[in-house]
Amino acid sequence: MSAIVQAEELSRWYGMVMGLNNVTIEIGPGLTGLVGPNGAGKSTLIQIVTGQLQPSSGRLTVFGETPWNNPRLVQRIGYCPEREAVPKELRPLDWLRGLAYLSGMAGAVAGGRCEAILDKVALPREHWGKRMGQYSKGMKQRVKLAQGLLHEPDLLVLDEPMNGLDPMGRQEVGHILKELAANGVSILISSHILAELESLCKDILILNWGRILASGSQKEIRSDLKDWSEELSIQCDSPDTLARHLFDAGVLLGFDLDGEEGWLHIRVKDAPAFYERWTGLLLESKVTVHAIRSQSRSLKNIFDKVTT
Amino acid sequence: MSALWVVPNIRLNMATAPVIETQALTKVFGAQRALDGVNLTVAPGAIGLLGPNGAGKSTFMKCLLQLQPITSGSAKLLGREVGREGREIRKRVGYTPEQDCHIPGMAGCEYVTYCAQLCGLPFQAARQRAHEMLDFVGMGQERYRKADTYSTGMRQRLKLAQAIVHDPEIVFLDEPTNGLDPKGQAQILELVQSLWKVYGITVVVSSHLLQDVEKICEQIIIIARGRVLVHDTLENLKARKRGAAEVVMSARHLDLQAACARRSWPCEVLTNGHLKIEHKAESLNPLLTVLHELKLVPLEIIPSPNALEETFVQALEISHAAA
Amino acid sequence: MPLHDTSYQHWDGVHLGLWRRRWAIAWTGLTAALRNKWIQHLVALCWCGGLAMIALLFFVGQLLVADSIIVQWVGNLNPQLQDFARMLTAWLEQHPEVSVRTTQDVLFYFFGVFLMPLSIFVLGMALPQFITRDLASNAIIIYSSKAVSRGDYLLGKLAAAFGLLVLTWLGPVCTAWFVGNLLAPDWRFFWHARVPLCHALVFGLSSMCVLSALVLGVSAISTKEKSTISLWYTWWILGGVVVPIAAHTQPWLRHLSFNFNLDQIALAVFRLGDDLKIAQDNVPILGPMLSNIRPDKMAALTSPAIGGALVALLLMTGLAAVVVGKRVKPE
Repeated sequence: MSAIVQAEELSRWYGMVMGLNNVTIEIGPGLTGLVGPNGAGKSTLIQIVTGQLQPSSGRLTVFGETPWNNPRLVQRIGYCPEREAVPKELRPLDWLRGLAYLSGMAGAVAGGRCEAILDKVALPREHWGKRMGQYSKGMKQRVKLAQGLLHEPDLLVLDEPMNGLDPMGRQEVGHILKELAANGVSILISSHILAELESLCKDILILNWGRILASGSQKEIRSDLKDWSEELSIQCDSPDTLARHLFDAGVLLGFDLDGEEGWLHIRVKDAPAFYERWTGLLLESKVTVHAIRSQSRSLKNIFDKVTT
Repeated sequence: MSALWVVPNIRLNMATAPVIETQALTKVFGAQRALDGVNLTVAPGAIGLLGPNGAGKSTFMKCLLQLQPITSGSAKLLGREVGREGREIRKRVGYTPEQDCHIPGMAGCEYVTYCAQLCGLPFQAARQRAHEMLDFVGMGQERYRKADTYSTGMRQRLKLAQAIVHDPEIVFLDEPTNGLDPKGQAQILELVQSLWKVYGITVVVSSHLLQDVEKICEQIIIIARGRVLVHDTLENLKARKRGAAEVVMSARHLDLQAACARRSWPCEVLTNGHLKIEHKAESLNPLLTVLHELKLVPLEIIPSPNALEETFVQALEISHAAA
Repeated sequence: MPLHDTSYQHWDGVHLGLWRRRWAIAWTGLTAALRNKWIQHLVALCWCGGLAMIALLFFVGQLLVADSIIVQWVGNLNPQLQDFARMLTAWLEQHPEVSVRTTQDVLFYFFGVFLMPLSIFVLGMALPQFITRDLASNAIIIYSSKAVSRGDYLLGKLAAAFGLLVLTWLGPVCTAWFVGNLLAPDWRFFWHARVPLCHALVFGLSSMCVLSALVLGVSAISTKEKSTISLWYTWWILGGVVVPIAAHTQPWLRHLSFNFNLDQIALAVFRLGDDLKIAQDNVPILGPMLSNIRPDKMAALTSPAIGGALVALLLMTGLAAVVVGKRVKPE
């Protein structure tokens, strides 16, 4: 699969302040999540990809070309920024039409396209007549998304796209993005909401202090860390019975009981061997199991592990 | 938690008096009914307040806090009428607004001290508690810098500190994790969770991030179109969605999918590679039996995944259909 | 017990009353304004003016002491001024009740005229502290969520502005009156000077109330500091420019300047015209000295446009209240 965005030893400095430090990555087609603490270099990377900044050293190419000073390439990139970047005095259609003309769309086409895009991002028609200064955060977010999608980009870069959206809105935007990805658009999403990235994105990039800490599919990242977790939590009807059974089976290093909500937290001796017998042990104990959680599976825990 | 051991010093008179009571609460903005005859009785606890944008959720909170006047009906907060005894009530209520707001030109500790004084604490007590609360929210030497220079994480902590400095009985938090990175989110959520669980302060969290709400709230209120659609405990809501599980496996997904197909259990592959299986049982044991038979190893099995989200969506759809 | 509980503690103390909370708002506003170095300098200048006023009152009192330095120094002045000093001394000796009252009335009128522009300048510098910055940073929401109402907030801010004016105006005036009369040769100076003190207090307090209200109004107009400060100074300066021009064309336009209106209040309260007449009758040499002043200026000093000034100030204060009411909302 050819890479859409390729960075080779990319660095960006602001005087002594580090933005990005020697980053080498490849972003492929589909949905990619970009994660990192505040100040990690996410905005710098996004600005270089969208052609707003030049690298200090190294190279970044999008579709094989450098985005800096390259209007033809930037035409293929859509960008939805984090800040509230919609003009307060304009109405959404006027704003989008203006942007459409700037992208070279003909007048006749632009009007229809703008309306179609606003419908796609589910901005209710009754609000189209109002000036954007009166819009709520969620509505402004939809307009920003529309402005990114307007010229049918091949690469869409989104910075906190769900900010201010209610759960329904998040679902809708999630569907739009999945649909776009299925139609061949590459999407790079920068977000702090790990649960959403987990459910949307196949590939993840973790940044911290201007450096790439992890990149690849969620599966690959997890397998690079230890696959078998040695710490598990089981929610069941009688955690002490289960604890006794597992202890008698000789698989435990230690355990903790949280009687209030029925959780049993265990640490196992020999993970691969334990997992061979795992389901059998559970069923033999005859307790009713409600949940099995492993601390190191979620993106959140991967993130914590990788960024400390 | 910074202390080595924690003594839960919950107030003795907390018992079961409801913290929020509304009767036919209505708020009208011109032609729009933002709140339409809301009747609620809410017991103390960790409450999640959910709802679509423009649904009346923020208006509800603002009416209780008297940031907006009520059109008709009545509302009681901590047993007192909201319209009549505003100042008295607000001595016992804390609020962290969604937007960035602080009193400019003051250092963090000065600001929190001032907020305590505005609630009637004498200066000495205010100053003392301000520093205690800044310790509680994990702020170090930054407290001596002007609040204008703070990062997002510190601002959120400062907001929380000013909301609890006067030892309120109930705290309203509007999007408390907004703009925070994952570590910051976890820290704030842990603090908020401890407020109810350990110290007996009721928290009302209004958020669009259902995962956050699921983590810390036990009661859920969903408001849409100015009406209360759902008011129930999270346990009950999850129980209604029992019968589905998200299974995380390292290998052999296709075998599991085939097994589910044989048992007519709907099975969906999620984007993160996990399988969502509707096993329709009360517990995971039937699913475990299947896994055991096939010698498949689950790394994780998460019950009722997205229960809250599904309840939310369902409630909204019903409300749309009824409208 | 070796380990102490440093986790969250509940608080069961007694809450202070409403006035203490209002006081907290006022005090915080005042101390925030005083952090500005330039405001500190200007306040010091006002108190220097107070010191100068004390010196002046002392000199006038020393005219009655036969072998004082002042009397010796007067002997070195030009003949016209020597005559003036002699006649003034005679007046003070023969009719202290009237003379002390009249001279101190005139002196405190001009002291007020000196302090007013300084105070207006200081208010302009402190303007954003009152409401502008709170509007810009959404602090109003924080206030609204505490145990204070919008009225308490505004009262506190008004008191903060008033407090600043106490430092630049009322404080120097009262101190000058007290110390100046304390240093007088006769205790009865206190009694004779009671009317000038009343006049100074009436004028001072009313002007301070009006200025505090106006400054809150202008402070609430915008969220941008530069806009509100510019507006205040522009209003003041334009008023100063318009007044002499409008005096000959459309006199009512002069009432658009708050400075002019306050001047009229001062003239009406102190009754400068009457004072000057009494002084002229008792110190005849004053006549030729005052004849150097242009007739229209004398007319302005002796017959203030008080009706128009009161109406104009009332309207301005009302407008300020409307602006504040609209801009300062809990949400």
